[in-house]
Formats: sequence, C-alpha cells, structure tokens
Amino acid sequence: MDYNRIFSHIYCENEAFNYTLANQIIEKMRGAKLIGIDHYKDVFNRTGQNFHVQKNSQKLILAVKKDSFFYEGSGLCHGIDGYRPLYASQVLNCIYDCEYCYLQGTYPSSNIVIFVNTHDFLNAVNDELAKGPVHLAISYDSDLFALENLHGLSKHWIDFSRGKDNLLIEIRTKNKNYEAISSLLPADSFLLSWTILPDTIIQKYENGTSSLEARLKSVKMAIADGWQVRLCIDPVIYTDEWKQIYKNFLQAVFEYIDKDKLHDVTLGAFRMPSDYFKRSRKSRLDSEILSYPYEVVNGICKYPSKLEHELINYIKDMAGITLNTI
Amino acid sequence: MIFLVMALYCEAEPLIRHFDMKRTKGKTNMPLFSNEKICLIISGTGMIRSSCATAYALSKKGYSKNDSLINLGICGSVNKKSMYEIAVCSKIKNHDSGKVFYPEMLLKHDFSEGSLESFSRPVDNPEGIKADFVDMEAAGFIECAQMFLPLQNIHCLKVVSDNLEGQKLEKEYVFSLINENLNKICSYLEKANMLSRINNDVITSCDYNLIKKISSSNHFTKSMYFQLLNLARYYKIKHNNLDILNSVIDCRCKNKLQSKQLFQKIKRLLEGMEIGLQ
Ligand code: SF4
Repeated sequence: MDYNRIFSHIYCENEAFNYTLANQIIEKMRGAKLIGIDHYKDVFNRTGQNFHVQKNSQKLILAVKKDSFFYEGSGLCHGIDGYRPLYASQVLNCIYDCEYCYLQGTYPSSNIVIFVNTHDFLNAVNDELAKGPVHLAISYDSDLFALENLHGLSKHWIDFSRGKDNLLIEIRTKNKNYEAISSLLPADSFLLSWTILPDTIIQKYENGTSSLEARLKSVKMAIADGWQVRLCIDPVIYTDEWKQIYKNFLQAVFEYIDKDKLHDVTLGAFRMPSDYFKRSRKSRLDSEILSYPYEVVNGICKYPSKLEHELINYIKDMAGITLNTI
Repeated sequence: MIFLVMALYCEAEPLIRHFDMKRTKGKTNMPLFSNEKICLIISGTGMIRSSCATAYALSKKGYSKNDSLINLGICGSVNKKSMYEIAVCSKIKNHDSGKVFYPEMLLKHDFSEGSLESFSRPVDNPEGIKADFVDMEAAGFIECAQMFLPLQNIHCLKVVSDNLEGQKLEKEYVFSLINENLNKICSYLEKANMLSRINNDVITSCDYNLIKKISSSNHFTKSMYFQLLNLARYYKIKHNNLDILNSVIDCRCKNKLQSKQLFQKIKRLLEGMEIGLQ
C-alpha cells in the first residue's frame, strides 16, 4: 500500500501558531503540508477513524492545552514512596506500535498531538508542588523521548526539575536516543526509565522500538554520566518458552548493567483496564496478546492469577535482586 | 465496491464508458450506473443533492465497511491553478453552516492538495475566499458519507475547471476535464479501493460461519459465542488454521447441560497447552 510518510501533514490550531514550539516544529518539518484548524479535537476526535490504519501514516497535531495539565497517577503504575503520583500528557500517542499498548484502546486516533504551551504545564506542576512531594510521569501517553529531536520537551522538563527537592520527574522510553540529552548535566530530580523486555518479545510484539542492546547501551551511558536510571521489566508477556527467554534476558541484562548503580528495577505482568482492553482487542483482530483469554479482576484485565504469579516469581528469582512489583 | 458520487452526467460519462457501467432502474431522478465493482450516482448540483445521492446509492446497492466512497467532480480554483489539474481535498468547509470536515490523508498521490469550500450558489469572484478550491457538493457529500463508512474509505477528488471568472462551462469541456485525466483517476480509485479493503481479522468469513454454526447448533449463549470466537482467534494466530474444530462440527446438544459440557470441551481444545495454565 502506498502511504504518505509519517507527519506528511501537520494540523495546527490557529492559536498554536503563536507559540515558539509550534513554529520550531513546523520549521523542522518543512516538507509537511500545513493545515490550520480551530481545535485539535476537530481532527483528533473525528468519528470513523481507524487507529491501526492511521499508524501507517501518522499525522502531527499541534495544539494548546487549556486545562487538566496533569492527572492523578493510576494504581496500575509503579510509584515512589512518599510522593504523590501524577502524570502529565503533553504528547498524546506514540510513533511506535506495540501490540500490547493501551493507547489503542484509549484514543480514537493514532495521530500524535503535541501541546505546545509548555509553560502552562510547568506552572500547573509548580502549583501542585506547593501541596507536597510529587512523582510526575511525563511520558505516560507517549514515548516522549522517541520524538525528542522534534520537540525537545525532555530538556525543558529536565531544566524545570533542577533544584526541586520535592519533585521527581520520570520519563519512560523504549528508545536508544540518550544522545539527545547526553550533553545536559544530570538532574537529581529526574529519573530516566528504560522499559526492557527480551529481544524475542520486542521483535514479535513491538513495532519500531529500539533493540534491547541499543536500549541497554543508552542505559549504561546514562548511568556513567551520573543520571538516576530505572529499568522497567514491564509488561511481562507470556509466550512459548517463556522461562528460557526471560532467563537468558535477565542474565544478559545484569551481566551488562551494574545493578547497584540503578535507582531501581520495576516488574509487572501485562495488565490493562478492561474497557481499554475491549477496545484494543476489537481494533486489533490479529493480535496474539490481545486474544489471550485473560481474567478480569476489579475492572482490570490480567493473566490468570496462577500464571501471573508464576511469571512474576520466576523473574524475581532469576533476577537475583529486589524488584519493585505492583 | 467503489461508490462514486458525481454531480453531472457530462462529468460521469467518461467513467461510465470506461467501466462499462449499466444504468439501474430506480424511482429517483438521480441516475445510478453500476457494474459488479463500481456504482456511480449522478446527484445533480448542490450539497443537499450530493448528500441524498450518497445515502441513496449506499442503501440501494447495499454497502459494507470495506467499500470506498468517492466524490469526484469539477471545482473552481481560488489561487489560479491550471485547468485540468487534479486536487485531493484535505479540508472541506460547508460555507453555509460553517462546518468543517477533514478527510483522511493517508494515500500518497501525485495530485495537488488543498482546502475546499462548498457553496450553495455558483461563485464568480474569488475575493474573500480562504479555501484553495470551491465547489457546490463536497461538504454535503462528506457529511453524509461519514455517517456510513470509516473515514479512510472516503475521498474527495476534484478537477480544476475554472478560476472563478464566472464563465459558463460547456458540457464538452467538462467531459474532457475528466476524460483527459481518466487514467490518473482510475489509478487513484484503485488505491482507494485497496485502502478500504484492509482488514486485520485473522478469522475469515468461513471461520465465522463455522463458529456460528457450532454455536447455534448447540444453543450457545451470545457470551459463549464471543468467548469461542476469541479463543478461536488465539488458536488461529498460533496454528494458522481451525482444523481442530472439525471434531465438534457435527455435535448437536439437546439440553443446557450438554451445551455447557461441549463448550468446556471446545474451550479445552482451543486453549490446549497454549495459555500457560497446565
Ligand atoms: S512505546 Fe509505549 S506508548 Fe509507544 S506504542 Fe509502545 S507501549 Fe505504546
């Protein structure tokens, strides 16, 4: 099929043209066709879109966020003791296409929205900090780092975090692009998290993400530069020969990475709110992961308890270190 | 099926001839032509007529979510584009209601691209118009089309006929605008058709029939049917076939208990060793 290339079209809210970030992005994407819009939802929320077909030629939508700059963190994520979990979605959707991704059940479109009013996000977080320590996930509905060269948002958030003792910002990625921020001094309130899974799983179920080896190289460089680094073995996916696959994976990871230099390692088996899961399954009728007969407990779709425990306990045993589980 | 909605017979004639479409008898004054792959309706001029024709063609012929729906016709160019140039509409505004529509721009093409505004009256002066092109149908067409089909199946293709200087367009000229571009238009239709037919379901219509048959012959509830369908999908992704169900195809349960037992048996068959619970 002859698709337009990614970001062949940029839809820009008329108001967003007033923001430097929007203009910088438009300048970087000079070959793209620019279409002015009143509100991002006029494009993003159209009925009748096909999330997966759009993945073949994702468009970029530049918008100005008016309210709800952050949300309370979900109980399905790993938190930090003593810190209130919040997440900010300055970018909606991701350039990757993981088979298990909950975004396919979250949004009506896979086009990427970037909210260009960064300062409004930062101000909103500042207000929250007055109420107590905050653990802020900034790449919750996206892989922010994957598009760092386009928007440079991580740099803004890193600078914002400096000197703030009651803030811990976490950016989570499957990208190898550490170089995009390697020139910056490490920030104490900033946690770089890499999601890692065995290469067999990456190749089978993730589309477009960096290889395990490339991610681990980034991890090593970041640690060497003095950053706080978290590894997330999440979501653990059940597959044929899973014991051997995860055993080899853990051996390779901890041979290469010094566990003592990590902030922590988190672990979680595949899980998804059941309403998101239903929509994801409906939209991806060729997915092995999404057609597995999960059980639903308290509105969460997850592996049958027996299997879930087996997966988690095996990996914990094999890793030989304390893992942060949900 | 490709559905084409066109305003005038002289625009449609090159396509009717090329695809050897035959007129279908009907009671409206919107002539419908078709062959086994394409259905073309002539709406007449105006947004409401285009809307009505779209809905009429789809309901008269019957449609599936894998059909494409295309508005093809002539348009005026605000920015003095060359005559005969083909344009794909990326933004369509209804001048009267102010409503704006954004067609999916997934397909690569060699045409020009731009915004279009649909008016209720002929436009003979480009002053004050922000769009690149103007016509009298597209906004009516797309508003209706979106109620029936997925967005990626809907396209709006225009051929520039004038620069809004108010001249009368002769039928022969309009015919030639489409006729000269016939090959390019046909190749776009082909691509649009391929895009509409994308289907990621591993369960084929034969598989669906098989699962429906097993379910109905054995009085499975709706929920049992959906569980079965899903397990069958999981099994098929792993094994590439559903031959394992052949062993239960002739089962006929006589009561609820038998149904439940059979359902559990099929579940075990499909789950096999695959789901990690053994
Ligand atoms: S990298 Fe994360 S956000 Fe992106 S597709 Fe994969 S799971 Fe979704």
